[in-house]
Amino acid sequence: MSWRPKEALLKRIYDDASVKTVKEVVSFVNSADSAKSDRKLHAGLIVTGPDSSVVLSLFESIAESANLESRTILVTLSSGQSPNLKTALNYINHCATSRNLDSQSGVIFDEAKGGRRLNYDLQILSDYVQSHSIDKVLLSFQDSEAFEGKVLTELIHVLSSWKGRIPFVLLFGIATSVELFQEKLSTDTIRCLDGSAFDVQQVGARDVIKAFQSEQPNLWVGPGLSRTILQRQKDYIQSHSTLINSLKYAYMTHFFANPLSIFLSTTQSIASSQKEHYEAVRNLPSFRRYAQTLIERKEYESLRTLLDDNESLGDVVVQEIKNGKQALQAILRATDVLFRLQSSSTLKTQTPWTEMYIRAMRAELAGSVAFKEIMASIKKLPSDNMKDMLNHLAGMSVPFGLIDFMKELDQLTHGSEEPKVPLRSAYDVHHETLRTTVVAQKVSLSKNTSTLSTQDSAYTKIVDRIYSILCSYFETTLINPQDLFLNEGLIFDSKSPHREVFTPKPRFAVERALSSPHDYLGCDCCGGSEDGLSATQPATAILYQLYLESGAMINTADLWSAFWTIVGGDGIEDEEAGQQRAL
Amino acid sequence: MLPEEISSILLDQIPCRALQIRQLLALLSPALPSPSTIFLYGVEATGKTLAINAVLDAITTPSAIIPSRECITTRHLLERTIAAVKEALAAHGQLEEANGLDRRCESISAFVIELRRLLDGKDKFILVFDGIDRQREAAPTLLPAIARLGEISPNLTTVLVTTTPHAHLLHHAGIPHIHFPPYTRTETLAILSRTPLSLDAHPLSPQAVNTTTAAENDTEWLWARFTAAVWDSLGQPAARSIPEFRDVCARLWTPFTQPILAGHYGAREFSKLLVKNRSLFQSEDALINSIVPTEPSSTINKPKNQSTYTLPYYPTHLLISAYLASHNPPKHDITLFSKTSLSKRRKRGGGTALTSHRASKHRKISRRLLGPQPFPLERLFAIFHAILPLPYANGGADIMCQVATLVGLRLIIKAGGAGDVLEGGGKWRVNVGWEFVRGVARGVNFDVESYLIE
Repeated sequence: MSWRPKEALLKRIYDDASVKTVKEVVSFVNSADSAKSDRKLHAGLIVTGPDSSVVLSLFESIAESANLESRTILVTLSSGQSPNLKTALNYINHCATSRNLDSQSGVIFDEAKGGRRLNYDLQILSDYVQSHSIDKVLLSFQDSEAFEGKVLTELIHVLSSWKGRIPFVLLFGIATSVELFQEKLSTDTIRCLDGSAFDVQQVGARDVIKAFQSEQPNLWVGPGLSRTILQRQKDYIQSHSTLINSLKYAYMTHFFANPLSIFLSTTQSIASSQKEHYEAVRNLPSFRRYAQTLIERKEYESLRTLLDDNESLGDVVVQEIKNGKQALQAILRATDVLFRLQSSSTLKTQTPWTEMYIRAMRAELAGSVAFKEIMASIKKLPSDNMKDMLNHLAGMSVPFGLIDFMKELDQLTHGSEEPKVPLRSAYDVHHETLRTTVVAQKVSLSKNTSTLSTQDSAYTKIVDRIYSILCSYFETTLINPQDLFLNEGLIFDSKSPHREVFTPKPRFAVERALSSPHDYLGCDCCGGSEDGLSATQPATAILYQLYLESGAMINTADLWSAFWTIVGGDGIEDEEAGQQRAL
Repeated sequence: MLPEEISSILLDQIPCRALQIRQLLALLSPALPSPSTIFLYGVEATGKTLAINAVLDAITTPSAIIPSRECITTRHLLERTIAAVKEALAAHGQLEEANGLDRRCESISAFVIELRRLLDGKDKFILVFDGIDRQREAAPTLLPAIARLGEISPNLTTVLVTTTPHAHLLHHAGIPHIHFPPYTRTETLAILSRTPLSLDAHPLSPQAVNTTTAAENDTEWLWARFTAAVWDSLGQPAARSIPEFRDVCARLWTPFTQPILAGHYGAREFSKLLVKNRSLFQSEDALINSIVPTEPSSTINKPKNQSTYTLPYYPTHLLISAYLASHNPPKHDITLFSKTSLSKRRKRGGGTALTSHRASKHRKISRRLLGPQPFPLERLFAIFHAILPLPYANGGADIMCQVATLVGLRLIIKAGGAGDVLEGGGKWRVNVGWEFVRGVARGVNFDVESYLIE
């Protein structure tokens, strides 16, 4: 329900990132003329990054575009299909010649001309290329790192020896870097290849999270979880599929396990939901806070009805969810605005968007150092940059009148004789000069503010107004999301499900299972004994606990007798006899 | 056509190979009996294949050429030979129809029988095995057997083209050898002067060479001087074969002629150009082959940052650990990685006079040059935990996942190859070089050198 639009969004992000590369590669393939260089094979090296799902979709879209021309054969080789040279060549032959079987002359190779051929003989492909007047044979190696270096080298040698007769174009998908790929090949092989490299624009984890939060979300991923996911991404993960999986898992946990998520649904009518949901709402901390504010406002009646009447509570919940969503969206928009301001300012350290988001969700953004620096730098902006910034902000649907400022600015700049020189506000360092005076062999530095021109002072006034408007805007929007009524339903910030699923601890789990098997088995027999050993436990668990009790050296006979005592638990004689039997 | 005419045409086609072509023409002459086996040898790119192809084209004797590099197995080679012989015979009207292969031809004995059946009662036939010493999956008896083919059918002449002559390669004496020596400076320059590049790096068409305009004449003159300069500076020590040398010249030509195109110099001002572009001939960038062609610039550029590739934090440390595990002997692990060990790490190049004297008795190869040694996974993890600046707290599944990622990227590979990847207890090996590891280690501020035993 809530995930499908996200999926579409993700696909759009990846497509946007790769569309340029696809175009370049396709034009490379089309322009690769076999006649041009007679000694070298054309090779496109596509540096895709480590994400395999991206690679797949990229090659698919390349194949789609390349297949538009009927005179092109596409063969996709993967490392699994080509453990050695023979298999690889066989596969190439098979794939290439079975592609256009609908055309009438598919049988020609079997008997008539070449007689029986070995299935790894590239003569088959050569004949096929001639009889169908194929322009290009496109070979794509999607996971070229995974190929054995020897197989790849030999394959390239064989292909290059057929170069004159079969118009090969090779495409390599490279997850690491071109240099590393080149290291695998011999100099001889490299000399056979004439390549161009294509970089796929990397989709950063930040882009994904940003897109997730910005595009009309139903659910906001909270600051703690976001930070955990990003940190994990930075420390470990190469592929984005894990990142997306964690986000998906967060959504799943929220919608499957949190009953309050039912109120997030926009289509479902609230009246049909169970009364337990309302009880749950009444037990929320945020409801208590809400009730507290009602009491402070002395609206005892309405509070009473909220506590007693489900339907009126339902109405309030619907209303408040809407308000909460709007407030959260306003926070996001404010974050966007701040990010925008930062990019037009000339600060050295640029805070990433995700960091701002996390701070905003924690209600720490307005007090942060970055925020103060950005706001201070706005005062110093010259007029041309200010105009750019206002233009950008105007496109972001911010609820304050910017048009007036832009008009005023325009008037100011048009009035000046030299439009090349931007106006500067009084806060700009250009207006300050340092003056050194030597008094009694001491140098004293004093700052002097030079006199402003009339235009500059007018501009300073405008800047002051813009600054104050921005300040009040951020003050009103950057509220603490945790103060919102029903924030438990709107924000998902539980770290432990994520941690348990994505960073499992198998050793710990196995050890725990062995030391207290009852927790996992749930059987009646060992329920009684809290800790310690009992005969009903599985033999492995008993042995493990005995092993834990023993020291560095283990006497096997002792271990055996201890084990026997626990399992058998009978008299000494019986035990002796049993031991004999067991041995 | 008279033999003299043929030879004059051929000598024009293939420059600087007069002696070899004359010998080949004499030995393979249709009018005279030929030796049963002829052996051509010479290092790569010395015109062996070119010469034999041209000679066979020129004379009328039916012939077939089998390039070994296109044959995957011995069976492939043999069956292909039979098919080629049939085709050649059919082309000369000595066989009704080249109907391909009749029966399987897996072994050399089946091949001999088939070949004898085909050639029985026919005229002279020339069979060329090109690069037969590089045949894949060849049995040791293949080459001697092919060398003796001529004894079985008297009208067959076998020509073997190889790169190296080996005394006992053929188990057969009295075979005429023709040597193709590497081209000398004059010969190389003469060959290259036949294909001059124009100023905008396109090959000049041969028609244009005949009807030379003044500008093209200038370009040719410049090209000849330029190739000579490249040969003296770079080609002679490092790029002696014709294709390699031609590549180097082509790579350098564009930056070299840049000032002419820009209009600063004329095409005849060779020495000025040479002085201006002297760094081109000093740096060795042009000699390095790369798949993606790089433009050597005429200014001496700084060494590029080698690995722009970055890994996340923990995989980087894992990779470094794998490199250390592969390049340090396990007996030194306790010295290097133990945090309580008092003994200092041995620094590079240190040591007293006594130790250095003693070391000279057994000359050791640097471990970095020996290639990576295999290591068990446990050792990798032990080193990983030892080199991490902060203790590693998280569980084991994540770190195994990182190993899997590194293996997937082939930065670490399984040593020995055999066996399933999932099977425990195998040994592993790092698959990246020193430069790369140093690059990623600098990215995380880790000093690899201090952990390496030299």
